[in-house]
Formats: sequence, structure tokens, C-alpha cells
Amino acid sequence: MWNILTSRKLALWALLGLLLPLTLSAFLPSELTLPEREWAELSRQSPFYFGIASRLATPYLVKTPFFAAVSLLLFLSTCACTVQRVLWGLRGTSPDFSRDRSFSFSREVPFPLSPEEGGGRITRLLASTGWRHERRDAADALVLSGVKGRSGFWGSIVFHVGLLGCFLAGPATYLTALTGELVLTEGVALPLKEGVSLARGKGATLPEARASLHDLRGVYYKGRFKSDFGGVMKISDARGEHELRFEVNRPVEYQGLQFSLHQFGFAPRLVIERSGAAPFDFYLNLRHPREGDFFEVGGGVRALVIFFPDFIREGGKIGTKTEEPLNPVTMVRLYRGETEIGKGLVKPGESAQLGGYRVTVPDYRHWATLVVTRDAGVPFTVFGFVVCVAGLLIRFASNERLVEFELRRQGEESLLTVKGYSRYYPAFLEKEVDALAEKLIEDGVT
Amino acid sequence: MTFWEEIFLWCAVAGYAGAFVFFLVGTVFRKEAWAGRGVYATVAGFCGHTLAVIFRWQATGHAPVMHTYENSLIGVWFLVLIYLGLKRSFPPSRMFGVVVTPFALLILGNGVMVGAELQPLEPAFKSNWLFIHVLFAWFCFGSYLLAFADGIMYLVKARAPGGGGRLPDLKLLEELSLRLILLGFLSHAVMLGSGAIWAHSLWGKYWNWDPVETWALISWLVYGVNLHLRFTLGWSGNRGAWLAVISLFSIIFLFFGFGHGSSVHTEMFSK
Repeated sequence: MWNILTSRKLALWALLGLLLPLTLSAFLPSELTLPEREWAELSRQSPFYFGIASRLATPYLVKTPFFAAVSLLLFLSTCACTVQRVLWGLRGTSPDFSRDRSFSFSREVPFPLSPEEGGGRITRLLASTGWRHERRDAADALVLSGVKGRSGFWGSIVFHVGLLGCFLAGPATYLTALTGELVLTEGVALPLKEGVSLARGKGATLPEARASLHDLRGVYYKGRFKSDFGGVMKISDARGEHELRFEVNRPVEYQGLQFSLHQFGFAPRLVIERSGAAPFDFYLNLRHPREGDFFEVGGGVRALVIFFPDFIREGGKIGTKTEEPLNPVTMVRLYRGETEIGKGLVKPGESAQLGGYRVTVPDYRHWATLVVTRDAGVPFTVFGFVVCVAGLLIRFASNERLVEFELRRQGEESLLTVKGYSRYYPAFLEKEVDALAEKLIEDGVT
Repeated sequence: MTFWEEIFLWCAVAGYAGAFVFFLVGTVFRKEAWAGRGVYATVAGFCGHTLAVIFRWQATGHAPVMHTYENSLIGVWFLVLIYLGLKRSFPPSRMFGVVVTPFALLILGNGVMVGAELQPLEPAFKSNWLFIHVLFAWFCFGSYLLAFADGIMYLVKARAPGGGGRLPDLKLLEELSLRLILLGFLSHAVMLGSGAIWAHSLWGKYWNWDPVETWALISWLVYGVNLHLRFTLGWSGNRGAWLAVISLFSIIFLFFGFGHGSSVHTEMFSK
């Protein structure tokens, strides 16, 4: 089992086993790549293709047992190979260049010194240029060898340790992640346990606290381009009230939870009164600024509400000139069933009579959606990537190589054979071996 | 696009186009002097390009890292910078210009076609991680593209009758290819890591299996397989060159968005 897991070919096959399905899945459409309407249309128009896409497109493939099994195999293989290499490294095992696939280069030159004198000179040269060297006497020659670039080997190990960290992030996230949304109208406080709608995780783990948003701001450049969005989040718990500033990219951190600003919009307060009935009176968080949002107002009546921050009318068309609330107007359309019973435009602080209803917009506020998350996989990811990059840097800067000098007696002088072995960088090896040989000959002559 | 940015951008385009013609003539007809002119034209284009980047930066008030045009502008700038740096360290690599310059033109052309409207930095882009993410993204792309050019040169030289004329030595090409892929792989890792951290602060999730993320991972794995084949199975020579050439397609899918659709990378904080 150990031999199988430490086989480099297994690691390669497992890597391919992950890569090929992932690549094919990336060509399939998913809910992430198609708008909601097109995704629904695909299910109607091409049920077979939709069936494949909805099971094998990347976001779904990565949740299959197959993907988990291949990832586990790759993790185990990486783990075993890393442990094996660490053991090799600790034992001081040198690479066997004669067995491993490697580049080699040799050069034969006459050397003007005897093997004994030459041996001393080579030893000094190797020591002075940072080679870890050793000497052995063969039957007909004196052999001196030097090894350099061992740190590259450790760099590779460090890189794979980082990869293992990244691998562990997946299960850590899967087992611990909490994801949800908190939609809040400015100035309205909600208990977290009630307000956060969870997509994943247990609500019981949410803290006993109330949250509200204040001073929400949405700044646009030239009235069109988003520039600055943020506000203040107030959280009240047993320890008191905490005031936490947030903006896009600067989330709120509270008791291990992260609140990231995700959506932002206007919330006009709409009051609809009719004699004999309790008024409909709410701040409406409008999620679809272009199409409008429907609200049930009671008595079988629905209201379509659109907020124009900078109202403009051109001919028969109405719309907004900019995204900034320079001339805010709320459009309200009332329907009974599918029949429109009244429509009108209402400015803040004004009222209108629509289809027998008195419709008032006293004021408006902002609303925001905060994505609420807690994820134990994050530290693994950060650790993994930092270690991976450190390992690659070491690996990139260093290349393990071996140089051998064989000195054979030829009368008073010697025949010097310089051999270099390296698994990478052939041109560099050749240059280095040439330089060593030339330096030796130069020193030998002088 | 501002007036001066446009002027200098077209100077850059003219420089790269001229460089491509010079390199092509130099390669096909083995005219050393023409290849030299190609380098001068590339440097001239790069100077114009640098000025275009400066004027863009000044006009928008932020580094040009947002949306397709700005990414193309800064990405090609990095690509040419890496090429010129490589050419300085390894002079024989100057012939890579015959592959680099057309890619530079294609990427810039694509950026200009999409639109070059001046915009302030969107809230989602206001993160220091963005600069690390984008910088290393283009370093990785530049390195892989040069490794691709290297692979092409290797294959041409290995097959050319008479040893490929003035093309760099095969061993040097082999070594450069590995170094470039390692540099790209390292930059790619930084890009993925910084992107994950940025995504976590922006969306609350470090990984969404968004199409751009998926392709970034796929291409990293492709180059991981590439390095494994070289390191553990000893693939070199023609096979190594083919690996460098074929692997680039994963990067093209990543940067030019095959099947990206409504990726969160294109939507950001848009709702």
C-alpha cells in the first residue's frame, strides 16, 4: 500500500483524474454562468443537456462522491510522497543521478598535475565554491564529487506541505461553514438568530445579539459609477453595544462571524390606507430597481413599487437620470388579480389617491444585504498558499546537481574527466561544468 | 480614453506591429539586422505604452486594473516588460518577439474593442490584495506566454534543416522553458492565494467555483502536471516543448473567458 501511495505515477494519474473531469465540467453551463431565466429556459428546451449540466457542471461535479474520492486519493498520495521525501532528507539520502532521469554533461581534458596534486586542488576549489564534496579512490582513478542545491529538494517538500494545507481547507469548510444573509433596513434592529436566513450551518450557533445598520451611504461617480458604499453596524449583546464600521471589501468581524456588504438599495416607506382597514405601512427593501418589486397589501391587492432616485420624464418615458437621490420619486401600481386598479408617482412627503386607496410615501431610507459567514477553512487556505509560495520560491532558486572529477594518471600528468548531472537546467549545467574545468586548468597551469 | 492616452496607445500599437514585421522577416529570412530592428521597435512601442498607462492612471486616479481594457493595457505592458527583461538576461531569447508581439497586439485590440471608458475604482476593487492578484496574474500570463514562445522556437529549431539558423541553442531553450514555467507557476500560486483572500473579504467565501476561479485552478493544475511530467517522468526535448505550447490553451481559456458567462468576476459588487 505504501509503495502504491508513494508512486509518483499514482500522484500524476490522480492529478489527471482531477484535472480532466474539472476541465470538461468547466465547459458546461451552470447557475453561476447563466442568468436565472436562461437556466430555467434551458431546463425546458433541452431537458437532456440540462440533466447533464445540472449534475456535471463544475459547481455540482465538485460535490459528487467521485470528485471527493479522487481528491482524497491525491491528498493521500501527496501526503505519502511528502513523508517519504522528508525521511529521505533527514537520512541525508543523495539523489541517484545514474538512476533518475537527468541531464548529464561531461568534458575530458588533459590536466598538468598528478592525480594526488590535482585531487587537493579540486577539493579546495569545491570547498571554496560551496559544494558539499567527498573523495573516493576507484581502481584506476581518483574520484572527487560535489553536490550543490540541496535546498531545492526541501523547497519541493515545503511546497507539497502547503498543498496539503490547501487540501485540508476543503473538508474544514465543508464541516464548519456557516453561510447566510442578513437583510436590514437602515435603523431597524433585528435579532441575529431571527434575521439571518441561513443557506448552510446551524442557527443555534449564532450569537444572542441584535444588529442594526446606520449611516448607510452609496456614492456614485458622475451619478452612474459605483464609488463608495458602506455604513455603521451596531450590534447589541450582553456586553453592551458595539459600533462597527463597514464597507465593500472591509467586512465586519464579530464573534467569529464575518458580515460582508453584498447588496445595497433604496427602501421607500409606503403607507396605503383604505377606510375600515389597518393601513399597510412598511419600509420596502426594493431588490429589483429596474423591474420593480411586488408586495401583497391585503384584500387581494398587490402593489408594484419602483423607486426612481433621480426621476426624469422624456416624452412618454419615465426613468432615472442618475443613481443618486437628487429627485426621488416612487412609482406605485396597484393590481387586483391581473387588473391594474390604479397607478401614480409619489414624491417623499406627498400622497396620491390610487384606485380608492390613499398612498403616501412619508420618507425613504437605504437597505443593505450582508453576507454572513463563518469558515474554519480560511486559515488552512492562507497557510497553504503562503507555504506553497515559499516552497516554490526556494525550489525556483535552487537546483540540485552533482559534479564528478575523475583523475587518471598519464605519466607525470593526468587525464581529467569532469561530469555534471542535473535533473533540470541543462544549459546552466553545461556552463557550470565548463567553468569549473577551465578554472582548474587555469589554476593547474599557473 | 483621454486624448494623450489614445495617442500613445496607438504609438505602442504601431511599435509592436512594426516589431512583429521586423521579427517575422528576421526569422523567416534569417536576417539578424531585422531582428535587431524588431527589438528597437518593441522598445519604442513599450515607451509609448508606458506613457499611455501613465495618462490612464492619471485620468482615472487609480492603477489600470479594472475591467477588460485596463487589464489588457497593463497586462500587455507586463508581458512586454518580461520579454524585454528576459531578452536582457538571455540575449538569444530576443527572437521570442515574433510570438510575443502578435499576442500583445491581439490582447490590446480585444481590450480596445470592449471599451475604454474612464471610470473611478469600483468599491470591490478597493483592496490591496487586488494589486497583488492582478500583478501576479499578468506575471504568470507573461511567463507562460514566453514559455509558449520558447516551445515554438524549440520545435522549429529541432525540425529545421540546418539547425534552425540563428534561433537560440536547444539546451538554452529547454532551460528557459522550465525557468519560465516555474516562474509562471509561482506567480500563478500567488494569484490564486491573493484572489482567495480578496474573495473572502469581498464575498465572505474564499472559493466559489466561479468559472474564472475554476479556470484559474484548471490552468494551475495543467502547469502542475506539466512540471510533474518534466520532474518525475523526465519529459524534455520535443515533449517538453509541446507541453509548454499546449498548456497555454488553459491560460487562454482563463484570461479570455470561455464559458465565463455571468461570473462573479464580471459582476463584483454590482447589485
